[in-house]
Amino acid sequence: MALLTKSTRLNKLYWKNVLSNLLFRNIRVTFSFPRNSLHYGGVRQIIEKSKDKKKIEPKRNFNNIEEMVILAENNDVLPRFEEKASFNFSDNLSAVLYGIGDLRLEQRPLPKYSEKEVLIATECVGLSKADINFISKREYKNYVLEKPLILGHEASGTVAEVGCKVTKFRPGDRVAIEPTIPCRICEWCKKGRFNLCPDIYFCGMPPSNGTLSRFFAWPEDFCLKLPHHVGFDEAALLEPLAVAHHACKRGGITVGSKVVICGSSPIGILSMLCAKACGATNIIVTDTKSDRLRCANTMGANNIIFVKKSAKDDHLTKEILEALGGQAHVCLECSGSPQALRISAEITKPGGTIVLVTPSPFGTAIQTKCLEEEIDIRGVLNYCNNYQNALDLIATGRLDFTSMITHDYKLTDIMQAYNVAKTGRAIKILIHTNPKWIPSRRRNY
Amino acid sequence: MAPLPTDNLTAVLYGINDLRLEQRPIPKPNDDQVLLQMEVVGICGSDVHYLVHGRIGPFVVEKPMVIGHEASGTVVGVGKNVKHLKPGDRVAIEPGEGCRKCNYCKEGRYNLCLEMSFCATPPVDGNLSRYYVHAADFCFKLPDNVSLEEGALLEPLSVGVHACKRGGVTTGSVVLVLGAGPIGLVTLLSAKAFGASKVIITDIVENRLETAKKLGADHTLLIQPNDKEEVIIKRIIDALGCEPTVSMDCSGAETSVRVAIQATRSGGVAVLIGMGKSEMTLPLASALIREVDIRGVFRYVNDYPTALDLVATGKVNVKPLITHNYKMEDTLKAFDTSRTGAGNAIKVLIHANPNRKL
Repeated sequence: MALLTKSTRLNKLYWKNVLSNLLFRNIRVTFSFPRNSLHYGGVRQIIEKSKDKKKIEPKRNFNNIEEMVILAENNDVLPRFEEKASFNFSDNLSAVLYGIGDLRLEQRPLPKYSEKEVLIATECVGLSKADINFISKREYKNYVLEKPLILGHEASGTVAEVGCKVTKFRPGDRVAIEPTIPCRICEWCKKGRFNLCPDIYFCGMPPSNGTLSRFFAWPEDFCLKLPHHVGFDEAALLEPLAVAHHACKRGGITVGSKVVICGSSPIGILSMLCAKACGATNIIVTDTKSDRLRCANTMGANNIIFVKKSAKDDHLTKEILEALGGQAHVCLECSGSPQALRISAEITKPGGTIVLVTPSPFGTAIQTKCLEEEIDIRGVLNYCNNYQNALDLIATGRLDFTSMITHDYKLTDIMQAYNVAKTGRAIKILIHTNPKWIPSRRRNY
Repeated sequence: MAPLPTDNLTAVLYGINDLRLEQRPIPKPNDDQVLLQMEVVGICGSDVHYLVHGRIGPFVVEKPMVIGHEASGTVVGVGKNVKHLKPGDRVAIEPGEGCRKCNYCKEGRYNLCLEMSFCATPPVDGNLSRYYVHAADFCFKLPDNVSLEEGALLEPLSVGVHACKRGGVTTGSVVLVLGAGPIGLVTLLSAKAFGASKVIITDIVENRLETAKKLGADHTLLIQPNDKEEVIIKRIIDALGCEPTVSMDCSGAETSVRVAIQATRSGGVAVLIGMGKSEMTLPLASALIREVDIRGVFRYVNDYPTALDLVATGKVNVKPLITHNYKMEDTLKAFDTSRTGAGNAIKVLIHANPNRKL
């Protein structure tokens, strides 16, 4: 149990948090201290006062935490806690990447958390392109793996313990996390574009440890409370959904927009769903893989276009323009393919917008057509003030992407998950880090 | 090493008309703060209002509170994490620090933060003292050509800058400023800096309009207190030659706000900066059918660097606004001058550094 300093004393919020933490711990706590103990000042008063009175039968049943706090504050009784096992705090299995293909499962110490942070028992973590790239190539965008790193950033879980100044959460709350924490003091943070913060902390990206472990700690203001009807697996995919939502906002997609999405990756499919939610009336999705296109089709794309490897630019442009009935207001480039970039200026209306969501490994050549026709080219970096909106889209039923999750694996089977991801068969893979998880339906194929 | 300073004379407001100078311990900066030797602190209408009425709206002076928030100082100590400032730097102090965690702060509108900690707004202490600590990222280093007096004036100037941003003032804008007090004058200066083609400023006091003319107003209009609204609006439009595209009320008077809404061109913006009665009767139908947007202004947000740039590059000259200078020991006299407006007072400055000559 943490030491009580003079300043914490019998602060009601502190006791609420500490006592509620203790309820979930797998230990029995009794208040017995040496007589000359200078610590636990507030609790010592409880003992002293109870000595003065005649022997009181300590109350064992508390209806709720508030009652317990009130009784402790009034020094009426000596609280006793029954053993209660909710979380196994001695098991913090984590997936740690040591080098290319060298992903090891090892026990790590339970993370420490500060007064405004919460300790989360992770439930689901989505495997993202970044994680796959780190395992196979040790690098992604401009992040390079130097030291052993716990991967994973698309996470949801249950709050296990709370810091003493946390006000928004209690143990037992179901949450999803926003994995980027800005510095809060630079110009970009203050102007509301904290995704551009140069000192941003991104968990799961070197050198910051991620969420692929049984427990991790996170600041309370970057956690979101999940409504009852939003499942943990949907919540784990809030991260790519927030990227898609940010991309749609950057593109200015609104009611009546015509949209072309190049690339039916998870981000592409989620962008399609977000564009629909924003009011877009005609959405085309293109890709080189037919099974991904099939997924986009079942999830509601107005039209899908299969791009053959040998397809010529003008032929592909003609096909897209026919399917759309003209040029698009917004083109979301989610594939990184040079062909998609080349034709994006042709398929976008003058005055329209091209949004570059996925970085192209081949560099980006800007068509002079974009300059002559005032087509804006806008980049997307993560997300910024989008998480709550993304959660609302799921919670209000405007979006349902659970059919995008094709594979589920336990944390101990993560290498199997990676091998499947490498083959390109899967669309989205979820790793279940809760040791008590049992697959409820056979999704893996 | 020089002996540690011990004199931290502080101006503390105990109650209505009860402002006392007393010694307080010198604060220590935490890791993200700087310790400042205060140099110049300006008196704002809100400081005078707290002195005279003991409250502004829901903010009530319940316990003794240090007054003053328009300030500049010299850095004498830095916290561990502070990298962009060092002892000896002269800075302007942005008095309001948001919580940095709520949605308002994260969305870039920290002026609307509900947990905002603003100097001299109860219960937060102000900075009219010899020494003061503040968050380092809300202290802006003054270049050599900007004086400490101008640094203190960045606070009202930021209000003017924020108001012009809210109004969308740009090249081609025709601006009506109602009220030529300190806020009206900084709004006038900002509007010209933002590129407005014509600015007209109105007031009921002649000498204020003379200052406005010196500061670059294209037209000035003296209004009699009993003039009818239609007459005022007609005179404004006659002087400008057209309807204004942006109207900025800097007085808070009901007539002024009514004129701001009715005089603005269709599709324009009426910006309300001055704080008056909480309930007013306004011609909203006029705003509705002509699509005139009505936008409020509360302090400023991310405007201090802009205001500093304007002063440093000479686009805006705030020196004519400084009319009176007092030593810190004469704080009560300074507040008297500001309250009564004696000697055509616009901005009264108090010098908190005893070693610096007035």
